[in-house]
Amino acid sequence: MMDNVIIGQYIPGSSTIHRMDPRAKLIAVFVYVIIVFLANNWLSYAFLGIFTIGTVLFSRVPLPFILKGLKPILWIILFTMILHLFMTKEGPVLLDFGWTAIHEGGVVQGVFIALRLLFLILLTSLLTLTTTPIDITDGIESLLAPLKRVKFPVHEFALMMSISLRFIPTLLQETEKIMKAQSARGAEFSSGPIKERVKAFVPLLVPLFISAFKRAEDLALAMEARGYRGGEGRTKLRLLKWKGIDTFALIMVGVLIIVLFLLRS
Amino acid sequence: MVVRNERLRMLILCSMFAAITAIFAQVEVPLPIVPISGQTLAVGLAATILGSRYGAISMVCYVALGAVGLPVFAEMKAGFSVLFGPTGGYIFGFILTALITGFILEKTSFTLKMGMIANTVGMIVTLLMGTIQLKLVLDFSWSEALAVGAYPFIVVGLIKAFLASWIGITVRRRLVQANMLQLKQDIAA
Repeated sequence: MMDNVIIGQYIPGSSTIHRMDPRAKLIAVFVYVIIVFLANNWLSYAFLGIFTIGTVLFSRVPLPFILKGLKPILWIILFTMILHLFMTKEGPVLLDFGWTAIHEGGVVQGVFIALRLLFLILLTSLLTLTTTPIDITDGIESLLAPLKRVKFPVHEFALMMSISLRFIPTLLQETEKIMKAQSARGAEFSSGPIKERVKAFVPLLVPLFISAFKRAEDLALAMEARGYRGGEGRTKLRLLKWKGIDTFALIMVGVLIIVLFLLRS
Repeated sequence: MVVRNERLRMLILCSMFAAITAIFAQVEVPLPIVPISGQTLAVGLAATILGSRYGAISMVCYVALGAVGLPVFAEMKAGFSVLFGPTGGYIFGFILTALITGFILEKTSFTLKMGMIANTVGMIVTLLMGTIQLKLVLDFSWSEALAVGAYPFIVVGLIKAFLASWIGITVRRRLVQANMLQLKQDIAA
């Protein structure tokens, strides 16, 4: 889990999509999540499909990684398709079982929902596959910056994410250590009556939370000793750069919106 | 214990709880028939220990961590694809759940009885939010969405609500005893 936590799902690469500004990618994905619901006939779904699959191919992320992201959602897609197949009672009857019948509307509806989910998952997972968590955090911080005017603590928010990220491996180690320590004292986590097992978790959780509180205290003290006083006037090590390709990508998304509006019935 | 910068201290503590939630989400308490995923348990714990405001902030941090692609959701899932997928509503629901659970506890008292009531209400909020997104993304009718997304989880949810309140209140009391947690309610009590 440790390696995974640091790099997330990022697959290193040098495609144009990898090199895009995270802000442009974030905006594009957010817009896409909304407009995917605009498609409502074969033509608009086909266009959306070409756009989505084109983008995925363009990113040159190896296919196995993309399929890995789709695997957990496969059952939900299948289940939804079957449910719509039997539940939607529109159009002429295609198959009649007596107790239930499959209508043409059901088939169309089932396929459309499956496609919508597929496209949604493909494009949104592309964001985390081609961008490092740090870049996405920087992007979010930069995009939310205007909210500073309404007193939303954008800087603190990004700081919190970095701190959590830093402490997941530490607290994970701590949990394992406490578990071993309590096992050595005779605690049973995996056998025995249910009530005893649940009770065994209390002496595991109490030291964990106390340790988290202590670490928070230490870190706060250390940060203050080094003169931390919030985001005001802080400079950055990594600066985000908006390039021509980012503007171009957003224009493409704009084109997609217009075409979908024209094609939808 | 002299507290100099309460704001910074609480901010770091919220990050810690987000990290703890991420770890809990990967753990399953091995019970027969219904294995209890730690994710919802951690939400209840965060709300019970930190209270409404900070519990909710830690959940916002947790959701954001997952959104940027860190495998912090149950079964090491992550990314916008989970959040905007069919089951994302449950995860968004954690924020509101922590807010409401903590609010009920703060307005009443941090006792086992109130903890159970607050966590049960919290569970209903999580299930409702999850069901709403399930309905929207999968284009279900309300009865279909409820049958798939809410009813099967009610019994498990009740068990989890009980566990979260029991462990949460116990841990909270120990923390107060150990002088680690000093909130207004405890000073009064």
